[in-house]
Amino acid sequence: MTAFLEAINLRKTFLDPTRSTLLALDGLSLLVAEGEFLAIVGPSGCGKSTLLRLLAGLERPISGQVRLRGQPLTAPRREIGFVFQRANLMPWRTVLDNIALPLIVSRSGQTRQAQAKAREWVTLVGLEGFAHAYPAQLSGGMQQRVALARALIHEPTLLLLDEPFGALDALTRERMNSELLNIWDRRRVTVVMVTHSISEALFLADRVLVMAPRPGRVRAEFAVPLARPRDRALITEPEFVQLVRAVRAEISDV
Amino acid sequence: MNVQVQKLWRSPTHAMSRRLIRIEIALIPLALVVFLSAWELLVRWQGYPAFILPSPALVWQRFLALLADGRLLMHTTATVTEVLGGLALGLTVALVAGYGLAKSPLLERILSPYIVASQAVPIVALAPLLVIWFGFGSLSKILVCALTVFFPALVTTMVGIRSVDPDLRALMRSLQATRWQTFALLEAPSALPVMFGGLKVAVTLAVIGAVVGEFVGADRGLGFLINLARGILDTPMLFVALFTLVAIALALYTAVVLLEYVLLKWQRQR
Ligand SMILES: Nc1ncnc2c1ncn2[C@@H]1O[C@H](COP(=O)(O)OP(=O)(O)O)[C@@H](O)[C@H]1O
Ligand SMILES: [Mg+2]
Repeated sequence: MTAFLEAINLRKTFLDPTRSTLLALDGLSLLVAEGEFLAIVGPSGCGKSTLLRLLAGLERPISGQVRLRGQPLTAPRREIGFVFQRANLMPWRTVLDNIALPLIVSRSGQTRQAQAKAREWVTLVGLEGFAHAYPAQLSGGMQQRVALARALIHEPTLLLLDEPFGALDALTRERMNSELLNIWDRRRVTVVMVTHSISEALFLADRVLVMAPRPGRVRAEFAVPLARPRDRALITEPEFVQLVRAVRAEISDV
Repeated sequence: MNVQVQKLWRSPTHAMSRRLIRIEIALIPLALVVFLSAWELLVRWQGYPAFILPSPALVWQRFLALLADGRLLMHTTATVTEVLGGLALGLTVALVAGYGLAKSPLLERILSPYIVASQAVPIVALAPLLVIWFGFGSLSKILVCALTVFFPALVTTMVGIRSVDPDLRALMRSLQATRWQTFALLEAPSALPVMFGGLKVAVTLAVIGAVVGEFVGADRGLGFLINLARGILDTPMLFVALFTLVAIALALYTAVVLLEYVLLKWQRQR
């Protein structure tokens, strides 16, 4: 496995409200291959969001290093797309303008091509007819689709997702999962996704990491030997159920 | 089809707000008529002399006379100039300072005692000093006006900039936005709703500031006219000046509301 993204011995601390240091991550290492879909699960507060922010270059570790294609990553890069826990849209921008934001920031937004590209993405995430709606007029699922399109319009090589579908109802979530798999399959983007749903992690990913809390570290790793394309019916198969059980045992056994 | 769904979804609220607006528009002249009639009746029943409480008709006559000899226009122009000048100056300084203070906690710690202290000094006490320093002309009034406007504009700018969503900040950083882009695309639009609140307070305060300045020392302006009317017991003229001030404040306030309506279109689309 050639490492596309590497985290080496990451350590991160925060000052908690009582002014004592909180060890959010300690000695966390991981490797992600190019084109791989990696899922990360773990109890809430174990440092999953912190890890993703470090991988995105949004924050710096106290010690350790993040490497992208072998090069140290010290600041955010445009080739990394980030989807936040909440849709995190700008309420004053329409759907189209929210999706076009990365192009405007990278100054390719003035051209007609950029506008056309944003329109294309509106359609790709199934929001035609809502291009000029504001985020407040959309359902949670629609908002998260806008966020996904915004993260993908730059054609990132690495997509980081922080519990992107956590707030959605089960049906919408399933549909979003399929859409995400489609996009991943077509664009061959490398994905690291945090989720609190074990079955979502196993259904989507090539590999699942289980994190342990205080300090956050990798506790276990599961390869998911299920053939693709995967069908929804898979989740009731004994093989899948067994995997779910094994992962759950690692999480609850802290 | 989606477009239709969207329209259907929006139409009830729109129809409702349009009906409400129509009722409001009908109520405004009605309230005015009630107010004027009550005033007229009060004067007739009590038989007040004109220098205590003139009737609306008398005030109207005085208004026409002042309009005809050009004095009203001259004094109004003077006051409006001071108000607009004071607003421009006070808001500009408040926006720049508010942004700086919001971005730098160190700067805030160093400067906030002075800013708070400046607010503890009543503007009425400060105005004579400004007139001594900057003369009887419009400059001293513009400064009084600017000082009155400064504080509410400063505070709302700081609150607005500080309330920017940290996740949206992270988004802008992940897109490698420049400082200017972060300001123009994120900070300014997200601070705008809060800042409009401050602006509404500021425009009415600006009118008060100008009048305070004119009271202290001026040879023109509506505040000067009020002083003059008081001296010669020309109460109808005093009322004319008073109502003109109200009209200026209302016009400014309406302008801000209209601007808000245009700029914050997204807030109505819920
Ligand atoms: N900015 C911060 N300041 C202080 N503590 C933080 C901050 N961000 C996260 N933490 C703490 O670090 C720990 C890990 O948080 P987080 O990465 O958000 O966990 P998760 O995403 O797994 O729920 C938590 O205990 C949280 O309280
Ligand atoms: Mg989290």
